[in-house]
Amino acid sequence: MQNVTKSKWWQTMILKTIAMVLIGFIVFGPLMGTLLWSFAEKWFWPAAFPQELGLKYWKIAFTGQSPVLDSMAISITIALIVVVLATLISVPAGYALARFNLPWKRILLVLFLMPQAFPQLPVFINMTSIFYRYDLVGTVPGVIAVHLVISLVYSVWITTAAFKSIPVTLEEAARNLGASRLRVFFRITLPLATPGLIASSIFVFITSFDEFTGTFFIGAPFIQTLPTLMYTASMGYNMQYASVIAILLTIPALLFMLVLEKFLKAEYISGLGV
Amino acid sequence: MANLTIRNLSKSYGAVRALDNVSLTVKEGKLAAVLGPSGSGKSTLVRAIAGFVRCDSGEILLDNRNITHEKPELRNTAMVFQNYALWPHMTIYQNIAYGLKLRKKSPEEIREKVQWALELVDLQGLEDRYPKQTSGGQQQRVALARALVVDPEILLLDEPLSNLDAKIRYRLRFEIKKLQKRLNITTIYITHDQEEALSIADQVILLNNGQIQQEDDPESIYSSPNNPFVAEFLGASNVITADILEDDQGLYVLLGGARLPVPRGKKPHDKVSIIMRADEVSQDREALGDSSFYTLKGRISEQMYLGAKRRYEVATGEGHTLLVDLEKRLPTDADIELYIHRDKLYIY
Amino acid sequence: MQPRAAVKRPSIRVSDGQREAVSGLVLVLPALLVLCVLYIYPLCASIAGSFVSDEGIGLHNFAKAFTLYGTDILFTIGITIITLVLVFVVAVLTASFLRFRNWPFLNFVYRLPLFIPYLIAGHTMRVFLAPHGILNILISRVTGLSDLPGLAFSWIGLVITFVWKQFPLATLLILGAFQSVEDSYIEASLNLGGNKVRAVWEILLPICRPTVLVAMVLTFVSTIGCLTIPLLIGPSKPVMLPIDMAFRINYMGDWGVANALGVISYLIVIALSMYYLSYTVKKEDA
Repeated sequence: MQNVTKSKWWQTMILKTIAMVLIGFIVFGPLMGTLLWSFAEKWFWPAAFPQELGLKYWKIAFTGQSPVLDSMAISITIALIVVVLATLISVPAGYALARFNLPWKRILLVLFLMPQAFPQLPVFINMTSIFYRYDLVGTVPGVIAVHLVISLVYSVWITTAAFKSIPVTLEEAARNLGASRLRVFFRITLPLATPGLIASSIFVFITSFDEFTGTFFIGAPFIQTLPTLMYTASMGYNMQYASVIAILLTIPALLFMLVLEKFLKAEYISGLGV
Repeated sequence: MANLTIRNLSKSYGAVRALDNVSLTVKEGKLAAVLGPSGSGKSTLVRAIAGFVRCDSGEILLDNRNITHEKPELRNTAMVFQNYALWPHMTIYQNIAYGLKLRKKSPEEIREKVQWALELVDLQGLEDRYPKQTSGGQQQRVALARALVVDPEILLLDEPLSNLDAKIRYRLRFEIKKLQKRLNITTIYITHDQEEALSIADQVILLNNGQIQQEDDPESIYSSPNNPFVAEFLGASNVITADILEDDQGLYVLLGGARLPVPRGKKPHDKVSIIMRADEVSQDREALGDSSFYTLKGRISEQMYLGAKRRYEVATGEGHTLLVDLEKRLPTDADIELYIHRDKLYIY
Repeated sequence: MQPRAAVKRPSIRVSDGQREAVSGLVLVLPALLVLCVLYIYPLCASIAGSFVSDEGIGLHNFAKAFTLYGTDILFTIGITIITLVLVFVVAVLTASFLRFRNWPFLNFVYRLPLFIPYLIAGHTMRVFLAPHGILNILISRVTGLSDLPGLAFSWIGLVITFVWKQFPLATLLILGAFQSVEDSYIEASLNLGGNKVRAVWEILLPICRPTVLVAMVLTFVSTIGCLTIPLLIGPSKPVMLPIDMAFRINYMGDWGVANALGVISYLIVIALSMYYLSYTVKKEDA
């Protein structure tokens, strides 16, 4: 009896290990290539591993011999401004959509979803031709405008869900004790919605930081964010350089993946299901 | 239809013993009510029989078939879930027919059997509705029909009535009982409601902390509880802890001035539990005939009107408080003398 | 001192409901304005622009789009559908597995590609699937074969990249829906003699159908509208529609045909959404 369970235990362990290696390869394998390339100084076919490893390209990226640092500064500045703007307009909108008896509430919510649920490229193209008229093409405000509109869905939906998840009774209790509606909002509702607002900010930041297509049309060639810089490098088969930037672009998203679990409560996600 | 035998079943969740060496037998065609407070292990027991809980040790047998390690889908048990678990995307008809389809019955047979089941639970005409278009009581009966239509060897009811209003609950209780007798199907009925258990079961199994406290027919378990827990759970209103005293005639406890015997094995200054139901006390000495009884004395300290009767709180000279139900109206602060059969007063 | 009553305000009777709707709209207005100016306006411009060409107003752009890019339109639909089917299969398998068994490793790891931007996914697969890429290096090491064909720059590489990037979101949504279905609904099926495969197919999927459809629509739209992945890893001919659009603008300055291609991709998405809507409407009728 003991032996049977033991051999069965071994079987499951072996199966589990094989599955883990396979899944790990499927998920991490492609990324491994990028990671290796970023440290490869020489890598010729058919070696399984780069012949020479080193930090050469990382040094180039970080010592001002390249536009990487400038691009990173622009990318982060743009992303932060987009976060602030998106939060400023989404908090009142989300609160109204969660609490007020609005006509066509569902249609409004679907409207904010549209930039993500409909092909974006034609809109970017026409935005470019409109922006030309106002000299916004190739400027930071122009790029901020594109990023804002495509990240709006995350901030509006997540803030709406966050406000919805706060029981109305908590607000009613405070009003019952004599607090004004505005005071209740700032002292009760907003603090309780903070995890949701953080989750929304994270989504907006990542969306803006990693956005390529809109920036490519509106910002090029004067505004070089990290994604457009990486695209140029990758298309020019500058593999090491492109891989370094790719990793720089991925790190914030991966960091946020770890902290997001904390802030993105299950009820927010279920609130997103139409 | 089958006999159910459970031998030494145990299941732990971490440090919690949900089932602790549980053994029991339910004879073919009997309805066994498994009664206990929440967390007593009664749900684990029924889920173990259905196969949703894998037990650490012990055996489950249907007649002579050992199903302990059988997959749930091969056990031929039928369960009615607490929330009914009616599939919202299927009509009543489709819900009931599902089990038959899984058994690859012919379309005619399915139609016939579903019709039979609908009649059985008196739901003809509702077959094309979706579950959310029916009332709670109707959903309960659909769940019952879905379980019965597959001719299970054993029917498992997991708190089947707990989500319903008191009135419907009361009526459905007897409908279930009637059905069960008519089909002569071995049934396990989980409930936390002692009245429900006593009123419909052939056999009551009382669980606490994963252990069987007592297993008996309803009358015996009610009239002679094994221990204070059983007595209290089955509705004894008075559980009094008293000190054991000693004089030259031996050990005794005092309640309302009456000298009560002490169970064997107790020492002086130990505690005993005295258990007594509020409605088994009488003011009428004659009604007790010439059987032996105790006389308890006290003073009414509080009273409450309950409709058909009144509940009095009686303070005894020893500082205990007894709850007593009487029909007569008495003033508060009155001295009172109460009589109770010797075997209606349990001392542990 | 003048009595207050003298400055009599016009008394307009407003019901509480109306006042609430008005103040609610005021709060939503900034967001709505941004959306209208920056999204709805260019969207309408793209539709309007599709009918304007040198030959005047009409369907000339569409005629040109179909003659020039007919193959690409079919290619785009084909790639999108293959991606959709594969994402559905992988997502449902992963979500089912995680619904029945708690495996923290898989539950954590599968989400990774969700956090990799499309652009990086394209680049990373370009490195991974190239003729002399990591995958071929590994395969030739294990099997001893050399001169393996690269999957990058072929439709297979394109599909692999799309599926890799998009199955996590679909899985996340579907798993969330699966987990919101109480155990008893599945157990009731097992109890009556079903098995886990049937429980997924006959119970979980139908109950979660709205969420599954949302996941599929999102996958469909982001595949059909994606520029970066086809750009970085797709074949050079035929190509996906977004590449044609970018080409029309960047090299030809031909906004009319680009917009016509845009409208064609809208129509494909709308056709799918109609199917989704007709389903939800049917369900609400029931």
